[in-house]
Amino acid sequence: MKKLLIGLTTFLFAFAIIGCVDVVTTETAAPTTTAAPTTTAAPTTTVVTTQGTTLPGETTTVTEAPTTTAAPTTTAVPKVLMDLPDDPVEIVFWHIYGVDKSALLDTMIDEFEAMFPNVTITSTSQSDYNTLREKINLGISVNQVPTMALGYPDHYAAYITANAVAKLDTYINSNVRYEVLDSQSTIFGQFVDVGLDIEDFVPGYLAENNQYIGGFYYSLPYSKSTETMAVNRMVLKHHVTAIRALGIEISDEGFLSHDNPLTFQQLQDLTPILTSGTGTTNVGEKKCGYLLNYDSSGNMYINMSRQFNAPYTNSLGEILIDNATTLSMLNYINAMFNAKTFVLPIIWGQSYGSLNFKYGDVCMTVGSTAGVGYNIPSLADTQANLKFGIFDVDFVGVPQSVAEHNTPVTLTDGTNNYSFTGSLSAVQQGPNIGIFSRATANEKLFAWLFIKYLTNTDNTARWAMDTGYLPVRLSAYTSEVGIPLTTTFTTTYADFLEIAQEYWEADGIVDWEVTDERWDYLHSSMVANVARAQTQYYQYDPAFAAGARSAGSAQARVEAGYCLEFIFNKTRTPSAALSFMKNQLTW
Amino acid sequence: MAEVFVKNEKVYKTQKFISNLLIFIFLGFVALVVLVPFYWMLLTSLKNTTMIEQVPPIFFLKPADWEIENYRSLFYLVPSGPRRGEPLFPFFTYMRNTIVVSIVSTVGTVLTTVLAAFAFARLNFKGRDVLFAILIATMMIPGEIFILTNFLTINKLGWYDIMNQTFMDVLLAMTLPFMTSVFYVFYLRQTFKQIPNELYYAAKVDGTTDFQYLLKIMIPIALPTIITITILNSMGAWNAYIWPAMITTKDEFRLVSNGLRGAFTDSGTGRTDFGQQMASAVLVTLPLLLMFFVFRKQIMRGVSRSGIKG
Repeated sequence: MKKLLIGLTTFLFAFAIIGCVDVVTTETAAPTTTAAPTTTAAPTTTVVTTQGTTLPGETTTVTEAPTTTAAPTTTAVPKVLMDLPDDPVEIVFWHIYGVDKSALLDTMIDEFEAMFPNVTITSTSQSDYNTLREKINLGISVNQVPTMALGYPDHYAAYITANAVAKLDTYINSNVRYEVLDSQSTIFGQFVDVGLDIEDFVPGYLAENNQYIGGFYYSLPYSKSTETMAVNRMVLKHHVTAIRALGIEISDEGFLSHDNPLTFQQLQDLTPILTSGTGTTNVGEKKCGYLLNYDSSGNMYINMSRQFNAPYTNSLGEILIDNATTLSMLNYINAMFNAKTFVLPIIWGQSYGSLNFKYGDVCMTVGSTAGVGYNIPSLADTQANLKFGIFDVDFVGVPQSVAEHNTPVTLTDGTNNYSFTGSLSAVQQGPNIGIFSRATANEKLFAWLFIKYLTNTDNTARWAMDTGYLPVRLSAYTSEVGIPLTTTFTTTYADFLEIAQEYWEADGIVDWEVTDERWDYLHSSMVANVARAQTQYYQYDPAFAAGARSAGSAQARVEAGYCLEFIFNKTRTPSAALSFMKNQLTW
Repeated sequence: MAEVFVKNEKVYKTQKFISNLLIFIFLGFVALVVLVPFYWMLLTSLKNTTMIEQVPPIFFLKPADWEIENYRSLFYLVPSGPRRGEPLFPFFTYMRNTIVVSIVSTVGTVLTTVLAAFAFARLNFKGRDVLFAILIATMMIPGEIFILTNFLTINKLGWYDIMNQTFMDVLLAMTLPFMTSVFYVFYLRQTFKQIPNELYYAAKVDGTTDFQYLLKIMIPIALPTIITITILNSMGAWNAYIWPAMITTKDEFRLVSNGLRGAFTDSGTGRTDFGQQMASAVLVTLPLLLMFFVFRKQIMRGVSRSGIKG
């Protein structure tokens, strides 16, 4: 009897403890909902009413500070001049940058703090995006979130659902101009505009950042990258005549067009010329085992679905993959896998194809702009593994289904035809940056000014050249401000782009000294040029959190990658892989 | 007869030799399985990126090819920003945090465990067995379930304040929720229970209090078990990952386990600089290895007694 009693009590206790978990969660989730109205209260208004000191007439306008590019708005709306708040403000900024990138970020923080001495920015790396997102999601329930953070659109979609993130439109459209009155400031006596010339940002990035309900900006683009295609120029040069015979634009030295990307049809035509047909490299005939590797199968699926106009997902969170065009696309990809036109790095047991590109196993590889250096063979490689030795690498745009946007096309694999209306598309990826609504008006204001500073013309160019990301502003491409990259090498972004342009114009035969520092930046300059050409057809991946009936956008991307890997591995047919993906994403 | 005996002895010796050989081959294989990851860590820490990526992998590396830069770069100083002048990978800060957290957590755990085990083993009070059964039942709940409730508690206590978290907050948040362990209480209680009642009664006749009896008799007798608990708990604290990652808000409060995770990953490409990461992993492992050599006997005894791995 006693034992029975003990047993019963034990179970009741255990269930009670487990039950507690849910009770606590729901209780604490509530306060964030009630906190919502403070988010919508316009921060600018708060600042104006509490700090405002309207001064008649405006004497000087700053040209340095983070405000330079905001000039166009000045002409449209008269500025309201006020004193900049000088109460101490602490901003907590969460990111995921490791030791490699945080050094430059720290320098920018230093510069910002010198401009606004009352501000202290604590920037903390949260190791990786998953930890960052989970900590913020958990923190939202207890009202403990940083002032600002990096995040992917699907992270922001979840934060917005919890009413935790601030709308940036009030700042973007603000006509407030602050005078810096702190004598310790490096911009003492100058003016700082709150408003932002949003038109200066790359349109594709903006579309990603205001895709949320109401079309508001909850974040701004920060560390953006795209994909480009690295090509083995030595192999191309060897086959120049045969390639020209196909009607493909190529120079004597094996440079493909940097303005017009290859089409899938052209890739199919190139396959017998550039590959051996056996899957192994034929060094004598200068033929690779495979034609084109895609580093990210998830990106490959998503971008090709846009190029095929095959519905994938939408911003409402609907999974739209169950359609004939998607199946046709998968069948086409399957045929291209079989023909050794396309390949995935899993065939070599790798996560990326760059190593096998260097080894000469594949002639072309599509990968992130941030990983340029991994594709360049050098003396650091074990020379015996480099089947073609150290060869020249060129970068071109990612292959497209059509040469012109929205044109009908019919591809064939020899047995089946695949007809669709093709679109131009390139992925854009990388995190954005936003502010949380829990912060005070002053914290939000300075966090905003800090975002403006990080993304101003000079800094976005500096960040891009230092890290391999891309500038988020159009003006960065034409900026005349020199940026020191090393102690001996200073360049403007325009000159940085010029490095590859000069090289291409000379068909790769340049008389630069061996010690010329332009060699060090040649490939990153190539990629920057290609990426710039692709900005006109950037398309973003709609972001949404998991819903009651379907998974979130991040999971959709993962499953899309698996879908192609199943097809590539022959573990599932295209239709079986598609139904499996559908089952994984909807319930 | 003697011949038969000699023959049998020969057979016996051969059998013994073969069985020993098989045992040593098996043990050698197991040792290899255990040692290869360590060797691989050391080897990777001495390779450059290209060598690491190479297929087929490089199994041996001449000292002339060692990439010592991986180690050297860990101690480069940050040129600017809030961490100006500190090493790029704040190894010593992370190690100090880990050691402090391990010590505090272990001291706390041993204290509560000894007292609780004593109460459950020796003291007589109403509902003792029911209470103990309830405690044992909580072992069925996986630790991960407590993360959310612990997080909410820590936040209510004000130790998870993103803006003003101090090291003391972090220390309390990281150690307090884990200062009690039902498993260790159960483990020590069983040891205490093996101490004969006669000792207790004899001590009582001599006029010792319960607490004196615990201090002077029970603890010395159960010392091997307590050392085992100390070692297992410090290893647990050293290896903790999820909770310390959740509860720390600043870089300077991190433990080595979390510091190692993200510090060397290129956020643009998602690729990790394994050379540097493994170099720092070697540095982190070294003190543990030294500890192991010093306390080898105690650790082995502890692990074999408890029947679990750290």
